[in-house]
Amino acid sequence: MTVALGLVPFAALLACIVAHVLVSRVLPELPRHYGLALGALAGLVTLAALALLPIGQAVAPEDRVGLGVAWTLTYLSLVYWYVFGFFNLGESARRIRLLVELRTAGDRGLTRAEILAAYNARMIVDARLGRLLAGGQVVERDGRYFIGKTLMLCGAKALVLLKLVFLGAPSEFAGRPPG
Amino acid sequence: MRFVAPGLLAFTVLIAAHVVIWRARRPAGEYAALAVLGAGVLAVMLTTFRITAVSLGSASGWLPRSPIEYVTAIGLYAALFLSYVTTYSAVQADSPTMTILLLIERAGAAGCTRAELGARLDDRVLVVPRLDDLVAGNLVRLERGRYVVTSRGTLMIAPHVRFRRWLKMEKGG
Repeated sequence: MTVALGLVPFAALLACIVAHVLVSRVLPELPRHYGLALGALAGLVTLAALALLPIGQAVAPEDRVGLGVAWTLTYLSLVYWYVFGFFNLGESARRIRLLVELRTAGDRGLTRAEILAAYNARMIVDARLGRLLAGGQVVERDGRYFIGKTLMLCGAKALVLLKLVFLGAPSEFAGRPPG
Repeated sequence: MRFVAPGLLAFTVLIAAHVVIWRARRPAGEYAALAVLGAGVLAVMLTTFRITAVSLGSASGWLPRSPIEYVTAIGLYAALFLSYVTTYSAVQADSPTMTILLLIERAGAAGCTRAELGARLDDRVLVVPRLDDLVAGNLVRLERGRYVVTSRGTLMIAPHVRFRRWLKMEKGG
């Protein structure tokens, strides 16, 4: 029973992933962040159901609040990992996309020029600008781009701060030329 | 308290150890080193909790005592560790989206054009370093000027390819 109780947030994550897959398949036109939000909500409902059912009743009454808080924190951390550490890797990670291109090429592989013909900086910038414009983080006026909503910009600045803490530099290219 | 505090405390120790060690000497295989550090901190903290709880007896307060408290603390720590590694990957390599936002912000009231962004974010900045990462991580090998995916690279990409297929989504990037 102890192990089963420990697995409750992981079961909720599984429910989140299953719900996300189902929503994506049934409603392909739905914006992707809505699909993720629906999945996360389904996981949260599963977590609450498991907490209310006998599995949650197996612990002493004075421990239920503490256990509920721990499960919720664990579940939210797992969802964060799923969205940004797994789903988003397939969605926008350059290393994953490069591996996909090279896997498609098989044992023959690709030269650098062939890789850059299939996947290059122009495509990367266009895809991200498109997402930023659609999300309102960037706005376009007369062919020039300006900051719109500032939440993601705050995230970018927080990441620069973390780079300074961990790497001692604001960018991976600080102090050395790229390429 | 006994369900949440041990996991949070162990996670705080992990962050402190990570910052101190990485600032002193950044290891070559960063993620493998981070996984070892994560497991090491957990083992040390669980041992410390056990010894402290036994020596303090009933005054141990927020320290875990029962198996369910230990299992919950390990689960919380593991989940926080996964989310931490996810965040750290964004710290390690510059994100194009974040770089675009910072460049536009830096342009101020004048804004910036697509061409100005393109001039700063070319293949040497966005693609070549990630290709080098794949070679350094043995996910890709360079043979007579051709990049070939290794079995390790194929293994790593397989869950992502399969999952995108389940989601009925096109290849990302």
